[in-house]
Order: sequence, then structure tokens, then C-alpha cells
Amino acid sequence: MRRVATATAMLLAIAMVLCLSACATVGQGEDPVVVHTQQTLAVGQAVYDSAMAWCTANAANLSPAGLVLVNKLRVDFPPAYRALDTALDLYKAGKTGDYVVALTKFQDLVGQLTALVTSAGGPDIKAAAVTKAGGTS
Amino acid sequence: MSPLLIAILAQVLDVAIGAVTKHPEWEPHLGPLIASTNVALSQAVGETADQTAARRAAAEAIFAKYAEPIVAPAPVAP
Repeated sequence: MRRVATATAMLLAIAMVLCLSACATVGQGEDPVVVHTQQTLAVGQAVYDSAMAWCTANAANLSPAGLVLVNKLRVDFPPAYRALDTALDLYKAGKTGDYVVALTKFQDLVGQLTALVTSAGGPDIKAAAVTKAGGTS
Repeated sequence: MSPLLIAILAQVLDVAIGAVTKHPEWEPHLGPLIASTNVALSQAVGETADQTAARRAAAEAIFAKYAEPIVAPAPVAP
């Protein structure tokens, strides 16, 4: 029940941001939803790369449950990335599709990757990923 | 607007949304931050088609790199 309430609150928050984005005065730049999602994708792939590299190098230190989780995330992440990328294309084309669902799922996976590495004693890979994505995009 | 600033703004937006999601009572305080961050991001220019293609290619290369399962190393015999 609480998970449903949390998910609903998250969807409402995202819907609020989308609404605010639509109401914001857009200058010479692009739709903030597009810019934000492109950044989310860029940071997310850097987080994935860092998390997989760290877990590969430190596999001996991961618990059996941690290994199961990292392999699940390893498999689940690529389709979620592609789904969000496709949803972004649909959004740009006609502002339709399951954009919010795809974004929420993707952000959840990025959060799990970050938490997994941190809980196993690793570095804050998301902070590094933000710098990396900002410096290379 | 520099790419790093855009990335930081996007993270600020993520954190603010996450905080409001966990603590709806903070919305009156964080709502203006979310709105102004969105306005700032609206001034940013997104990826060009070439940059999008490069990002996708980089992502696929990363995914291919980790196609095999991650396994714990076998214990070393004494």
C-alpha cells in the first residue's frame, strides 16, 4: 500500500514538473523535459559503466545477494535505457507515449546502481557521473 | 550554458523532485526551486543529432562491454 502511495506521489511530482515545464517561458533553448531527459540518459549510462566496472573489480567483496542484484541490474538497465530513449523520441515527435513511466523506471535503476555500490563500500559514482556527463556531452 | 552546468541543474531537479516525493510537506519550499530550475533548463540547448547518435553508440558499447555475467573470483587454493 505504501509503495503504491510512494509511486503515486512520484508520478504526481513528475507530472507537476512536466506541467511546470510546459508553463515555463521557453527562450531560445529547447524543451526542458528534453534537455533533462538527455542529461538523465547521459548520467545514467555513466553510472552504469562505473557501477559495472566497480562491481567487476570488487566482485569478491560482494555478497551473494549483491552479486544477484548487480547481474539483474546489468540485464535490466540496457532495455530501460533504450525504452526511455525511444519514449523521448516519441515525446519530441508528438509529446505522447509512456514517457513518465520510462523515466521513473530508469531513474529507479540508476538509484539502485548507486545505492548498490555505496552499500558495498564503493565511491559515490553518481557524483562522478554528473561531472563526466557534463564534461563530455 | 555549459554542459556541466546543465548536468548539475538536471541533478538539482532530480534531488528536488525526490525530496518532494518523500516529503510532500516540503513542496511549498521546493516548488519554486523546481520551477526556476525548469526555467533555467529551458534556456539550455539539447543534444544535436550527432551528439545523440554519439551518446547512443557509447551506450551500446558500454552495454556490450558488460554482456557477460559478473561472477565472484574462484578462491585461491592455499
